[in-house]
Order: sequence, then structure tokens, then C-alpha cells
Amino acid sequence: MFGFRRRDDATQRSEFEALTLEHMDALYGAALRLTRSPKDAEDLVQDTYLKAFRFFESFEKGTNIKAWLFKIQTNTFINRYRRKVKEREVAETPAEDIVLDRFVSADQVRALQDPETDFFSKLLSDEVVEALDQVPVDFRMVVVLADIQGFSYKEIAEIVGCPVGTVMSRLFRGRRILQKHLYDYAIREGIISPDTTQEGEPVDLDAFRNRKKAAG
Amino acid sequence: MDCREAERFSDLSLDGETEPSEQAAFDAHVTACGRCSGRFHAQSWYQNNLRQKLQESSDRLEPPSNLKVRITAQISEERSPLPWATPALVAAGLAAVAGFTWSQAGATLDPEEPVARHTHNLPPEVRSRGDVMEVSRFLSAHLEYPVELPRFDEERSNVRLVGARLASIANRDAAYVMYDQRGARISLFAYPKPRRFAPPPGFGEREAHGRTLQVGTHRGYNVVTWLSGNTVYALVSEVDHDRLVELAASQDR
Repeated sequence: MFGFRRRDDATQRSEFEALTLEHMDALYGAALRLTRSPKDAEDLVQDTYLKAFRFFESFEKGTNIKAWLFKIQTNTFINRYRRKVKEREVAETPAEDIVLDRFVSADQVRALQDPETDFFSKLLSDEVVEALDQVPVDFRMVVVLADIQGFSYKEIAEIVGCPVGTVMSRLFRGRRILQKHLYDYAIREGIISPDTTQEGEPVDLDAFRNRKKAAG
Repeated sequence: MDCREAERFSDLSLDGETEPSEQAAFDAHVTACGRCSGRFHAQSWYQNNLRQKLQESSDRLEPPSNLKVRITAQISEERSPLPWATPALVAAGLAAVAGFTWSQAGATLDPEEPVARHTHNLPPEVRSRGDVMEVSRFLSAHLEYPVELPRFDEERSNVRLVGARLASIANRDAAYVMYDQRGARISLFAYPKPRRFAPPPGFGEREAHGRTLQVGTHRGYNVVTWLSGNTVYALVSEVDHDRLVELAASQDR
């Protein structure tokens, strides 16, 4: 009986490793962006794997294991973060309350697009990462999941544990905050000249959808 | 769709997340509006380049070489999920499975941890406004595993849900749910069943409404524990055992 149990353990473990270890690089990359610390990122990934193994029986075979692992990692990060880091208080501030100094206008984006500017060729990956790390964590989290990991809005909602509407809102704002940091960087580095053009705040998506619904 | 709405939908369109009717409205607006067309193409250029840069930076990242070794070593120290902890067996008879599990030699539930949490009497992190769903939402947002809160018959047992917080039991995050019964505090702890598990020594077994409960006392506090699926539940209070057993038995099955 005990021999059978040991063989069963080994099978379970090897199935777990075969399914999950290929996602370790992605989990580590996301963990590093969330924690902004290599040591904390390692701990987070290690915790994620341990928890995933403990709850492997609850994983529905054939479903998206990467999304399942990211959900565990995100929850682990939120719990740890919530308890240990004060910055969470800032991250939980409603998006409307975050002082953004306005988003980047379309003209400003076009200034970056100018072939003479050649902005993205001059921009190093490290500088993009530095700008991303300045985005508040709740927004950064969805940008990482969407733009680096390529998850759909629905998958992100499932991973983060919030409605799809919240994902859209956080992603929109996260991307615009990041855009603002990159634009400021381009000005600081003299890549483009300052522009004072500003545009209004974006509208609420739900308002549009409700209006269309009411109109039948 | 107006210009400001089109701006808001530009991300959804770039991400392929619009409904067909929304995409049609967006395309119609962008085709007709030169300003939005320019804005959308600039945004599209920016977003594609940014995504490429972000992915480049991610591709260059490599975890430390020993991380994989540490993870596999850690996993090898863990026991695999036990064969009897399958949904089919759980459905076949929780009480029988629980009884079998209790009898296995293994890690003993230390009542000190739940009793200590109860005596510390920390405030709830989420307060109930008469709605168990709010507390459930808080717990599911903060725990890595699903915890189903027992739904006690509040009228029959005269208990009121006060709120909940997170606690650590057996080195794992646990749900700590607080109730009030005619002015007496009752704490409920719920956490995943360890691989090997046994009830505290000296605890007696009681059957109530088809549920097998373990009943005992620790440091003067009364404790009632039971297993449901892969979750361990523990009630701790100053109220007597009979009332705790009645409460545990009053929950919906």
C-alpha cells in the first residue's frame, strides 16, 4: 500500500512539474514587475508554486494552467502586499483621486510618432520598465497581464478577481499613466519639445453601453 | 459614438475586445472623423511599439538559475493530494471520508492557534451589513483557495454575523469569521485540510444532524471542529459545547 502511495505521489508531482514549470519565467517576470525586488519576486514565485502544488487537485485539467498559476500568484502578492506594504493604501485610492496632471494628448503621442523623433528606437527596455514600475500597483498589474502576458480582459478579471469593467478601466488608466511617464521622460531627455496641448478626461464606457441599450 | 467615446473604445479595439456592434460604431466614427482617425492611428502605433518593448524587456529577464531547483526541492518535500480527497469521494459521503481521515496518524490540529486568535479579539477587516456575500467576497479576494462559509440558521441559533478578517492557522492563511450570539463572541476559523491531519488529543466525537464533530476544551475555551470537503472548520467560544454543536449542526448542508 505504501509503495503504491509513493508511486502515486511521484506521478502527481511529475504531472504538476510538466504542466507548470514551463511558466516559471513568465511568473518570475510578472512577479518582478509587481514587487520591484528580485528577492521578493523569487519568494513570490516560490510561494506560488508551493500553493499551486497544494491545491493542484482543485485545478481543472484541460483548462488554462497559466491563468490558474497567475491567479494564485496575484492573490499571494495581494495578500502579502496588503499586509506588509503601506503603498497598498495608495494603490487602493480610487482612480479618480489619483492626481495625473492630465493624460498625454493625441498631439503629444503624434510628437513621439514623428519619424525624426524616432522615440522607440531611442528608448531602452530598461527605461520602459522603469516607467512601468512607477505606475500604481493595481494599474501596473493589469498592464503586465495584458501587454506582457497577453491575457484577455476576461482572463485578467478572473486572475485579479474583479469585474471585466474594472479591468478595462484600470488598463485604460494604467496605460495612460505609463504613457505620461514615457512622455515626460522624452521631454527630460530632450527627445521631444514640451507641448501644452491638453484634452478632456475620457468618458465612461458603461455610460455609452447603457445609452445604446436604452436606445434599443 | 462621439469623439470621447471613440477614444475610450480605442484600447478595446486594439485589444480585439469590442463587441461586433461596438466595433462597427467605432469604425464608422473613425472613418468619418479625421481627428479621431489620426488619434487612433497614433495610439495604435504607440501601443504596438510599447507592447514590443515591454515584451523585449520581459524576454531578457531570467529567473535565478537555482530558483527551479529550489521549487522542485520544495515540492518534493510536500505530499501529493491524498487519493480520498477527490470530488467523487466527497460526494459519496463526507462523514465517512472525514471519519477515515481523522483516524490517520498525522499532523494534529493544535487548538492553541484558533483559541489564541479568538482571545486576541482583533477587529474585523470587513464588517457584515447583514449580508454574508460581502464577507464571502472579501475572503475570496484575499485567500488563495475557496472557502465556503457555513450558512447558520440565524433565527434558530440566534447568531449574528459580525465580520471577518484573515488569520494564520497551521502556517496557512485562514478565514476568521466573527459571530455574536446574545452578546457572546463566537469565532469560526476555516482553512485547507493539511495533507495529514488528526483532531486534537482529548477531543471527543459527536454526531449532530449527520455531521461528525470533534468537541473539546482548550485553555477554558470550548472548541468544535469538523471537516467539510478539503476544509477544516473550527468554532471557538466561551459559550458551552451544546450551543456550539447546535450552531455547527444548524448550517445548511
